[in-house]
Amino acid sequence: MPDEKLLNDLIAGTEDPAIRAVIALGVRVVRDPKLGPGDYAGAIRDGLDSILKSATNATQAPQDS
Amino acid sequence: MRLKHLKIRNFRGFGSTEVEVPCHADLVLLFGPNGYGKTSLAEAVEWLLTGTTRRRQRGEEISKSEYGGTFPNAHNGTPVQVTATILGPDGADHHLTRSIPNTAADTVSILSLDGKTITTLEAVGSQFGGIVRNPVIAQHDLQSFIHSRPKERRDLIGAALGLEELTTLKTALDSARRTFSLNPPAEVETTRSAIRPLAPTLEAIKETKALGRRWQKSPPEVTVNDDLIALKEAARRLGDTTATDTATILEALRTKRRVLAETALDTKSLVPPSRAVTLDRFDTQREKMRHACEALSDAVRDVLGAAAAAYTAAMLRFWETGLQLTPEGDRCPMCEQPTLDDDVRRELSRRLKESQDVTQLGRMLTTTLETANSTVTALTAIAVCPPALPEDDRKRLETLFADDAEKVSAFLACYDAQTDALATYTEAKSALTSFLNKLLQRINNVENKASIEADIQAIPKALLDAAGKLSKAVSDYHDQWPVFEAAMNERISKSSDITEIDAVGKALRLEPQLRLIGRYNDVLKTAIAAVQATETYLRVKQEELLATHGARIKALYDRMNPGASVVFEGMEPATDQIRLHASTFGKRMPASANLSQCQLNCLGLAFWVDRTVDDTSPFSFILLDDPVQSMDDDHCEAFISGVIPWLCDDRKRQVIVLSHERDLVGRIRDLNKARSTLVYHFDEYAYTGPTITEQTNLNKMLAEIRSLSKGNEPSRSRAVDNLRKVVEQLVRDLHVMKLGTPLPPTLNGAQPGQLIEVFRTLPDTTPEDASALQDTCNFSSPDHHTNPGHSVPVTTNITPHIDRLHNLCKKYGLFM
Repeated sequence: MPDEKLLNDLIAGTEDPAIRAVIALGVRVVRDPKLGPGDYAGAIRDGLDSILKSATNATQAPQDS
Repeated sequence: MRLKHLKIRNFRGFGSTEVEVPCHADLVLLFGPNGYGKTSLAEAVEWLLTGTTRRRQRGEEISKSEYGGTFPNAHNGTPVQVTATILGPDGADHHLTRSIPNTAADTVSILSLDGKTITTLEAVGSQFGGIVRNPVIAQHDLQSFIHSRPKERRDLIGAALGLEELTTLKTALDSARRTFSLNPPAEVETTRSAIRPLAPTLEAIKETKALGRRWQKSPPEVTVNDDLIALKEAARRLGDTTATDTATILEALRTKRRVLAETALDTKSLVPPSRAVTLDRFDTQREKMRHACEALSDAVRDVLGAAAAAYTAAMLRFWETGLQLTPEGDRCPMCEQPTLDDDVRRELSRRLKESQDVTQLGRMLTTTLETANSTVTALTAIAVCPPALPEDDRKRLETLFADDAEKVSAFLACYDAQTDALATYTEAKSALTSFLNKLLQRINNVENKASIEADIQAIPKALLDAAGKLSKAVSDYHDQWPVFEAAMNERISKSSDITEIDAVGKALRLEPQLRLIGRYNDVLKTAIAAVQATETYLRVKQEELLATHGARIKALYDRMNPGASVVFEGMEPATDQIRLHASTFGKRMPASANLSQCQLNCLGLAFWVDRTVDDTSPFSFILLDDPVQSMDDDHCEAFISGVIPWLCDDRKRQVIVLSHERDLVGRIRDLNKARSTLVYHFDEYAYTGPTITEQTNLNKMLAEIRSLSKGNEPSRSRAVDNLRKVVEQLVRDLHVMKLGTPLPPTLNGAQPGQLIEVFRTLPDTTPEDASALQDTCNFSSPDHHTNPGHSVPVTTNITPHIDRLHNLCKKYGLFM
């Protein structure tokens, strides 16, 4: 069974969109030819930060009153 | 895809000298001592195909860092490059090259296929008939499988089953999740730092008690919705509001705080100074001043009495001068009349004496005046009570005691009595100071006598009276203060509402940041769920694959363990591992704990071989680096006779074996005579890298000679020539075998006689064998069959020499 199919099946088989998004992020990272295995965790971590940041930007910016 | 030719330069143990290894055979066997570069060759193939090595990627970051920068050779030669000629499924040769453009960043490499740069071999995987799987079975893979912990072994088995990328994904997600949890974004850390100091106060508020406890943990536990509900509830109560939106609630809190702040006052201004330090000192100093003023009064009285009966000092000095000018006679120097008779002179002398007395009294008055001045200064320097209470504080105090105006009124009357006394006292002190400053000037005029006498009595007395009243007022305040202070503090303590309002208000103002922490928690939970989902999926796939691959792996294992009393039974997925079962005489037990190192070696080999020969692999070759390192002779033999033929015949694989055991290589060669075989020896290792030479097959050479010896005259002539070449190769191979090194370069092209002399020096050779070799060399000399007058030997003459060389090769173990 080709690995690519395994990964695609994993994403497709995950119902929660948020979890699916995180797994898809991981799949993109481990398939990025510019990255080596040593970079995977760092790149996914950056992706998690981006998810948090985009959610934050969608609401009012924090203000210190 | 088969390997046909390999070229390595400046990679790992390979140095600047490019090493070429032709591989166009079903079996390619390489042997050599440890440390001569065998594993570097295996890793060169692995790196060529994948751009990295499993050894480089294994372990945590610290372990990985030890391997950083180790792809280029230690002597930094360039280019770092591995090239292979491969036979594709299309039947055509292709050239695959990987090189490192910058040795300082050795994880970046360039791959090209037939001169065209490609990103990954995977990109052309379909061209080669399947996905790319590493066909290299490294010796450290077997070791790591044997010695790893159960969870790691599970991942390794997963990788062996073809779930490597899925396992990589799971590991990467888990690692990212861990760093996201341990090192959250700066905004989250800042918010945590901001809410932690508020937690103790919030814990003391009934609505926020639970969150106050949670926020004191490290890191603070925020459940954003519950926490905001609790904070708003507390804020509504403290702010006396029923509003629901945060902005209105905060405004209500601000208003309440302002009201409470107005009732707060700085009690320090009300606290009387210590009685012992100030009031007692004041009274003592007051007494000193009284004495000084009395002394001054006496002095003034004396001066005034004396002055009334005397001339002014200037007139007396005039007279004195006149007397000095006319020491004798009676003529006055001024009027020049005879007026200075003896009586007049006596009278003048008496007056001079009196004048001197007045001057003396004046000096005493000055001293007394200075003393009085200093006592006044010392007295007034004592801050016996505070200045008048500021109007704002007076109002705050009245607000604080709004329900008990009488109490605060009495207190303020007491407070005001001392400040009023202070004002009178200050005024009296100014009057006294002014009087003292002008006293000397006034006293010279006798017309002032009456007023001075009145003032010297009244003015000091006024100050002493004022000081006495002040002392009394202050003393009264001292008596009343403790009672009032207690009542005041009780009321002020109710203003701790301000502290609570501040804590709740600050926490509520952090609502956007708290929501950020909430979202951070959500992302973290999602990341955990993603890891769990991947792990679950991985386990399901493992179970599926174990059902099919498990049987194959066991079959492969059994090939290497025929008739063992302790056997590997199978694999079973578990929560966090894959259980490996063994059995002995029908009894089931954990395999890893009960199989021998040799059997675990067989098990690891079975896993990796099964993975490598998967039907989806585009590779038709398998490279085994020291595959039998922990095996005994019987298992070794089973691997050689049971697995290698299976790989070649059933799985149609080209097999490449690297080993430090010459016997293993020889045995594989012996059992596979029918296959095309290439044997290489790692001869030596130098600064420029290893020297790898092909081991000629003496058996094959003798078979060819025997065939030629039965032919026509030219064929027999070639057979005789080749006998000499066999003798030369025999000596060279025996030198490598006995001494572990090839013949020195000085013997390249040496005469047969020189090689026979080398043979005599080798261990365990006999003079008889040396003579026999010399005899064959003589027989094969060109003089005997190519020069005019000599005939080419017939078959029956050649055969004894062939048999002799065959026996000697066999005797010295030179047949591969």
